[in-house]
Amino acid sequence: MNKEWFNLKDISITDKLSDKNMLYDLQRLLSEELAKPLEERDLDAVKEITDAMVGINDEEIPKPIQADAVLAEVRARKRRSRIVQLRKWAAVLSACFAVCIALNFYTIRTYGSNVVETVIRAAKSGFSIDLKDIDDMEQPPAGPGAADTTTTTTTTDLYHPASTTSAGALVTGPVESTSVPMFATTTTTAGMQQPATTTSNTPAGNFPEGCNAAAGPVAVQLLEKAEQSGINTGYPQYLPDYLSRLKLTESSSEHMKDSADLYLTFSDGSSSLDIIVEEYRSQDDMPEVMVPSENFEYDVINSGYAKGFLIREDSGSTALFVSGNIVYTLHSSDIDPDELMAIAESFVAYPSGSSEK
Amino acid sequence: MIEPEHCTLIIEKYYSEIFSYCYAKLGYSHHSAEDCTQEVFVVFFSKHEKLDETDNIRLWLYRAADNVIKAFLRKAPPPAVSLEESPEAMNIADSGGFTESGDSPLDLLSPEERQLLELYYNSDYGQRNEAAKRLGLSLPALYRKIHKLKKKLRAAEK
Repeated sequence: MNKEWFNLKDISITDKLSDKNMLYDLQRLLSEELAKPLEERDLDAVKEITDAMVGINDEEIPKPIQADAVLAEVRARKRRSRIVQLRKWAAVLSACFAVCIALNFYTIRTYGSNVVETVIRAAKSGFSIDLKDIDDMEQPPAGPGAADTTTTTTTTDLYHPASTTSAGALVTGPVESTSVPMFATTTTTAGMQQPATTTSNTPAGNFPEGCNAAAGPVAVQLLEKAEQSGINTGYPQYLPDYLSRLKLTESSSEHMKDSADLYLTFSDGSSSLDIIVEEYRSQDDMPEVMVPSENFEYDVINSGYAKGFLIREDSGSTALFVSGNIVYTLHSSDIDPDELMAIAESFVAYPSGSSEK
Repeated sequence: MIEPEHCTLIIEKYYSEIFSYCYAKLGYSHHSAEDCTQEVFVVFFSKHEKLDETDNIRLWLYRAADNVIKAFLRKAPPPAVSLEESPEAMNIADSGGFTESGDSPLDLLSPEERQLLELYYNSDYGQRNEAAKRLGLSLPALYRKIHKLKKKLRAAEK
């Protein structure tokens, strides 16, 4: 037998890497296509790529669902929705009332005015937050104590079962290596009040304005990826020292009809931080989102640059905040919720480094 | 308005395409992809009265799939699984090597198929792209062919 052919046969049958490489190449092709706005995507190419992925994984495409079954489900949902609406109306009202009273109490105490609207509502297995209304919450007063803008509110949800899901999207895109660009540097500290633990023995390098040593590399990579994807974003100026070894492990971006989205995951092996940036065409396009919650406990984020909520969970907290038409979602794993709050409140605009919008 | 009868045709036409799309975007999870695909068509049916025959249905379905996947990931992000660890992605039998005795499974392949395998293993990503073009194939089509050839060889080996 021809030795060369024998080797080829041997390789082609036993080579596990080969299929993995093919899938990796196809993911790369798909990512390139999905980076385009939806209207400009070549759907035939998308179909061909995704069909090949299914084929290479030896998956069988399930039989299409029957139209009758789908119609029945649609009808059932409509019916259920009406019944649930009626049955839960009183309960939801009382839950909303509790949240609003707490928020109002806080805003009246802090700002002296009654400004809370139904931005955040207790809903089934979590909080429902209307992103486009977040910006209507009033700014905190300037001056001393301005950073003291948080309050913790616990909502007792008696009628919803506990959920084990947690918020925060996961990035499944290919891992990319990142070179560190040279952003404008300065030693100026931004006006935002930082937690006492922001000091570090490590000098901040060529990092965006105001970053401490731990936040610098994260900010640099966030800005670089955002620039590559044509997405505007702010950056965090603060990360606690113990997160100084966070590395970018996954990143991907997508251009949707109403928004351009960037997904980044930073991890050091034990702690991880997902940063999702969604830049909407306008605030009117921002959706109402659901953040799953077991504890029904939240803080208000109001940093001057952004406003939103921190949903405290034992397993991993989520910060969801809005600045203009940009929505940020930070999802943490093995990071103290108070530290996640500090990270969220340290976000500033780029390139100004200002905590003002 | 799109009539319900037309909806059936639309499901039959686009179901596999939307499934593949969800599958690719959900880390090769068959069950998640199936759930999301069904949800896309439930959303489609619940909105079909507002859609027009002239609307780009295919684009609409992809947009709905994006939204459904986004919501799915927000609620229940799947665990990060590398391809190397994923049995779904790597369900390739390790044959454990070969002996030189007997007929070669390569004899099952035509000269063109052998050439294709050789081309695949002797080139990198960029070269494969070029080679696929020369053969009048897209890269996904080339990869599907290679995968089929490998399966054929594995089956013969067993």
